[in-house]
Amino acid sequence: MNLGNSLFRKYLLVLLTVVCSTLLAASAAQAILGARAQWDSADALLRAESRSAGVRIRSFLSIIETSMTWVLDYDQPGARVDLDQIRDESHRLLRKLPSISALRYVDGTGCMRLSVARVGADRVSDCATPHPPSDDAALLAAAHAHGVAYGPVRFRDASIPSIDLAVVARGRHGGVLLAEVDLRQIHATIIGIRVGAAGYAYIVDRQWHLVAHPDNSLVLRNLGLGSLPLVTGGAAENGGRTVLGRDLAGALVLASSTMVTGPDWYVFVQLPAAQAFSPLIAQLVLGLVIFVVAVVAATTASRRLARRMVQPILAVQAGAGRMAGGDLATRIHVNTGDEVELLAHEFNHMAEALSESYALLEDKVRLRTLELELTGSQVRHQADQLAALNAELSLRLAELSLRRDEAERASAAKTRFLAAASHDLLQPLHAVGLLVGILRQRIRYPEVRDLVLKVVATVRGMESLFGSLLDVSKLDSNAVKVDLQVVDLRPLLEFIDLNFQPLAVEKGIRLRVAPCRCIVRTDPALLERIVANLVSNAIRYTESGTVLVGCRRAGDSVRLLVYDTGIGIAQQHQAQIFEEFYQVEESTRPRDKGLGLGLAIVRRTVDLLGLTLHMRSQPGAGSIFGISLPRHRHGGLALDSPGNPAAHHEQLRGAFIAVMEDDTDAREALEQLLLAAGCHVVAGASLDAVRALLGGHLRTPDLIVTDLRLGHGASGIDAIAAIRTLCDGPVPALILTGDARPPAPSALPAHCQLLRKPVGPSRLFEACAGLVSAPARDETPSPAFPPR
Amino acid sequence: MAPLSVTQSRRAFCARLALGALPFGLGAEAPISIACLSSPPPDEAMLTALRGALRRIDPALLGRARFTADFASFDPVRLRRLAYDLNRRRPDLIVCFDFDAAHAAVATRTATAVPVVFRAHDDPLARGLIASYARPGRNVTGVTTYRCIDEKLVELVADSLPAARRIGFLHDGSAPDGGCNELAHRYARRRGVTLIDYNVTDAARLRTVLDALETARVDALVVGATAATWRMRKTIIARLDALAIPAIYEGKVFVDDGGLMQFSALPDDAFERLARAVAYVARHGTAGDFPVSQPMRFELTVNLKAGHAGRYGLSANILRRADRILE
Repeated sequence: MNLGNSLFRKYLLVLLTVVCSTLLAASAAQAILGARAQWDSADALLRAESRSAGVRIRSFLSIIETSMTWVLDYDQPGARVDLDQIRDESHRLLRKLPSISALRYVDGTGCMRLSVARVGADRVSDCATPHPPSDDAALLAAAHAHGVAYGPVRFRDASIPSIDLAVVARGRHGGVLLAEVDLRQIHATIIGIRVGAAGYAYIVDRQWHLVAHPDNSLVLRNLGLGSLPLVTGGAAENGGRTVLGRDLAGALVLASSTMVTGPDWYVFVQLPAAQAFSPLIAQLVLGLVIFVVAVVAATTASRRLARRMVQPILAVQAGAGRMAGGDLATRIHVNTGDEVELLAHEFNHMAEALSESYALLEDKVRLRTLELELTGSQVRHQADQLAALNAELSLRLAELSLRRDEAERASAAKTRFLAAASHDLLQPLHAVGLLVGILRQRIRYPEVRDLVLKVVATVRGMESLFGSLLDVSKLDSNAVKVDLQVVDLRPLLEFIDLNFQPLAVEKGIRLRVAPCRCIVRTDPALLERIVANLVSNAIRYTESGTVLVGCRRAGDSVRLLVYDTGIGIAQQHQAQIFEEFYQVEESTRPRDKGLGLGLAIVRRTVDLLGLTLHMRSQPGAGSIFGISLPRHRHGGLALDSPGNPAAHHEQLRGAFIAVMEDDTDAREALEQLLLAAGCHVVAGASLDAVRALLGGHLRTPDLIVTDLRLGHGASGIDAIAAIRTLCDGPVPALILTGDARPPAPSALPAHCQLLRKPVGPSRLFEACAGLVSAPARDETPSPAFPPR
Repeated sequence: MAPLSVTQSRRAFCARLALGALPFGLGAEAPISIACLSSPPPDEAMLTALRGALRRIDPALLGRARFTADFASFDPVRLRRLAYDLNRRRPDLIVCFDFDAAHAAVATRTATAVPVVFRAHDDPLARGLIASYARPGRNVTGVTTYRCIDEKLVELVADSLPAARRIGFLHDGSAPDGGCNELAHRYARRRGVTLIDYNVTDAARLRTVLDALETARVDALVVGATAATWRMRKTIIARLDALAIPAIYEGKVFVDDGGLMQFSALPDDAFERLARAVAYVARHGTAGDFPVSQPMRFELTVNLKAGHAGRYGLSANILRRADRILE
């Protein structure tokens, strides 16, 4: 806040301004009126004094004029001029009037008869040779005209002023008496004229020469005042009005003048302005003193008055400040009986109301505080409990994490085991399967045939077992990639029927596959595996009756069902049957019906495809397994269907195939199978061996069949590239592998197909026939997940 | 802190008091040294007359004035020496009571001219002391009692003694008078009077003249105011009384010492004018622009108490014209 604009200061300034301006205006008016009155007074005084001085100067001259007439008494009309008497009277006049320095008498004829001087010798002339004084002619003429005449002021020795005065004698032809008046003698008259304390008079002639002055030395200097405006343009020409100007000394004076008739001089009376206006100055000084005193008094009074006016407001302000600072118990005591007191009362009322509101608010706050404290204690208690629970949960989580780590380690160990097993076990099983196939083709004795058939069945069981294990392993290791396609269910069901009808017939049950024209969108290989497992399971656990496979539309989905009239599953086992290696321990169940991996694979595969698996089962009545598939409404479809083995043989007959397999058994089995199919085969354990064998042939191979890993770090893919380089062409190639994580299709060379071990003869022939019969294509065919 | 405040207040009060008194001290006008120089022997009369006139005109100045007086006793060498010393002493102004003193003071000035105020019974313009009466210049001013009254003196003595046909005239012929003596001679010739000049340049010459008067057969005598006649006025009066030669003198002092008649400017007026000049020069520091005043009032005095006054048969005319008759 700008305290420079405080109310007190404003009041003080306003009061001071009013008082001081009033005083100033009064003083100014008084000064103006006083100055005017003083000027009028000085003007009247100076004009009166100038007139008085004129009279005195006139009197000085009149005495001389009158005295001169005495001399002229001896020049009476009709009488003889008595020069002796004139001379005597002249001497007497000189003695009487020291201002006359010389007298001359000119008779009526114009002859100067007598000259009497104060310091010169008297001269008397008889006018024998009369000659009028030419210098005095004008003066004499004027004297004769007016009776009395004055000549111009002359300065003897350029210093001493004098004037000639001519007085005419009575009578028509009377003489003239001329007197030379020493004007220094007026000094006595001039210094006798005093105006006030410092005012004086002086005389100026018509030529502005200073004639008389209290300071006679100025007169003797023969000063001309023609350059003094006060003299020339001021006092003399304005009819005697008082004027203000500078005198000879440069002082500011008031002057008034009067003309002296006769010599036509100006008698100036001047008064120093300081003296003329001394009463006014005194009045101004007094007025100033009074003004100062009044201002001081007004300041004091204004200050007190302003303070009295502001004091209650300041009290209200201070009280309001204390209230604003929180002191609501304070009260403002103002007893001015005006609006300020009302304002103070209002502030007091406001403070009381605020105090009450504050107390009420404090009670509420106190109550709320207690509630908050109670709530806080509860919250703290709950927080303690939560902390305990959290600690316990953390402990459990730690244990769980430990268990999970253990499980993960176990799963990883299992996966590693299965991966190792799938490679290390499938390799000989693959070879055994191929060898048994050869053996079966070469049996000639019936009794041996039965044994071989049992071996084949056993090998198939082992292949199935290992296949399931590998499937579980791949599913757990997320090695299976989903390849969604538009799938027609009809050929898939026909394939099921074709593959499992023999098994059903063998077991003496009826397998019925209902035709289905539905088209769904899913991975056909995985779906085939699901259905195969379900059908296989149904046949396995159905001793009599029927296994029915079909499908049904249900809105946007298609439900594929596998129904059997088998032994059923008790309710308490229905949740566990999808776990791996779980088998219901019931007497009705066959003991040698697998490892319990089929439904585990189904469950994992269904989850992988995002499908829904339904199951209903009743012990002794059978089971129903259903899969809901997303229905595909538009577009065509293209499915690879397994070909006819006989046709495959025809396509392979005469084909030149290079086989690279580091496992001797598997290599020999492959060689034998392909030879049996009519192929011409060169087989080696490594690239170098095959390259050496190919060097003995002129024909380039039509197909390369190789293991992915050829031992000693050699890669089948590198071997394919080498042979293609050797043959200078894109020889088709079939890569067999038992790895749980085979390379991605995009990583394979062109015109290559990859099959997972174990590969049966039919699958092998199918793949080889496809590659051999297919023209050389620029693009690698999409490798399908190899079905078993 | 309180004692310190009191001390400071006291100091401030003393400082203000001193500063307040300072203008009075500075304003107190400095004394004015006035050196007086006269050719005659020591005589305080002129200085006394000057003081008296100054007291009437400017008493404040008189209070400041510090007078010194030197007298040469009519020794020209001593006069020049005194004038030279005065100029070297550099007083505020030099007052010379006669023309010779004034001439010596001006002639012996050093580089800076000290203003000179003179009182002389000579024509300063004719004798080259001033440039003009209105503005004398040369830092010199003064008053003169001189007017060319030789002619008037002859007229007065002729009118007083109408029978006188041989009138002797004692004057200093060596001093230029502007032709004043010649006017007197012309007037005498017009009146049919023989005017016999006696050149009295010094006392010795005057004594010779006085001795020669016995045989000169002059009917009357005009005694002009010269240094010699002024100095030997009583001898002159006594001699003329002894010879019964009526005489008119140029100077009141002659009548005061027993002379028969005198016609001259009033001396009192001269000292008043001298005092005005001194006051002006003392206050303004310069003299050249102050006009040299000339005598204004003259007086014819007839001393009937003089020796043989009754026997001389003074005319009634002169007695009527006399401004003052001593009986």
